[in-house]
Amino acid sequence: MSATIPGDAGLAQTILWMTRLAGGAAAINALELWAIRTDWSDGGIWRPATLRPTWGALTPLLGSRGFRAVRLAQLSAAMMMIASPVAALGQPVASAATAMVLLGTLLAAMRFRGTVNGGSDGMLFTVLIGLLLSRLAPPDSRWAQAGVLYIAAQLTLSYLRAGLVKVTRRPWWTGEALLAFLRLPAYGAPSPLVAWAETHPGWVRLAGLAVMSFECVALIAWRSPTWCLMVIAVALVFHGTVALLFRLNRFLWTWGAAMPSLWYAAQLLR
Amino acid sequence: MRLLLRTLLRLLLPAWGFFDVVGVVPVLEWRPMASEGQWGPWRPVLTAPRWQWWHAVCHPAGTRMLALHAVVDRATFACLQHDEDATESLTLVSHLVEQVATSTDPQGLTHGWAWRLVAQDGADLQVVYQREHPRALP
Repeated sequence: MSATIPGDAGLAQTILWMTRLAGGAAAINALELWAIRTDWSDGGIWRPATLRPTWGALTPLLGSRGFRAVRLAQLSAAMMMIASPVAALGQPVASAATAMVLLGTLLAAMRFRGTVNGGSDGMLFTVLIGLLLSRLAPPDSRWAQAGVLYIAAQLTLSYLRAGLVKVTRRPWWTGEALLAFLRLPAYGAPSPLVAWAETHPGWVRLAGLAVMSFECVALIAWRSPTWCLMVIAVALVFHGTVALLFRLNRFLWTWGAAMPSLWYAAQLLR
Repeated sequence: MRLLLRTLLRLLLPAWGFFDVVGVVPVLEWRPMASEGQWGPWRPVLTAPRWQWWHAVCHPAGTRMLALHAVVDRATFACLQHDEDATESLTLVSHLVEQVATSTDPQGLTHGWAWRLVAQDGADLQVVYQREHPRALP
């Protein structure tokens, strides 16, 4: 097997677009955490005095001052990723920015123990790990390709796993599960929508079946670019709806950042 | 080091288990002490922030609310399972209630407050933890 893929412009473009999109997702992440900084400062909810015992050597980075510096560094690095006329910045600078955002995401996950949007941080971390591997590897090498395909595989797995679990749960077939999620105070779905859903069980059931079906068949994106485009379009509508109804805006941006990898995988298998 | 390894493991091998099914719903409630020995009614601590369409892009208050619900969930299930990590989760919940009690109700600030974690399973309600924070009158 050849170690390089001569002239694979699609790979370079995929990495470039994912760098920009992941930078956007990371910038939103940093801004949101910055906006609620009083909650993780001294006297806040996630105050250092309570969480410090498990930090060990990372205490300087996770305390109030250190973590503010980490947030600002992550925001700066994320802006560099977005601006990413990476050709002008150079590969080392782009790699360093990606590594900085990766480190910031890891530190945030440690700081809050997964309570601040655990799932979206997980996907952002996956995208950043794959991107860093692709950037550190020689351009157009198999390793660079492996980084992108790792992201595509995790993205597909995220839908497939969620869909297969739903299939085994009877409330998802009857619509009760979707209605229960709409009622959960954690997501704060608009009350007129909840009231409508309670009086239209048939539509709720249909929506639940649609979600389950999409998640289970997302794997067909690998079959051809046409199928892939359809899956990406449905996925963006799905995540946009979830962002609007369930307030999960970060899911839209982190899953969106991973989408180019799926397009690349479909092109590769064509 | 243990925290680093646990976090890395969770991020590198994500479970991708979203919206499986709703089981027990944890609810955090608090009440102020209106006067010596007289408690006010229980009320929810967490209320959804106001929503605008552009929050689909960036929504710090919404992200905060989801995170606080995650803290409440973790504390409730830690209590239900008699988890040894329950102390830390309960302390975070205590900070949250203190913030709400002292910022929204002067009576709570003067006399004290109480809070409880309730596990709601359909029509069944189970109080899994309750704590009082009385304050000495000046």
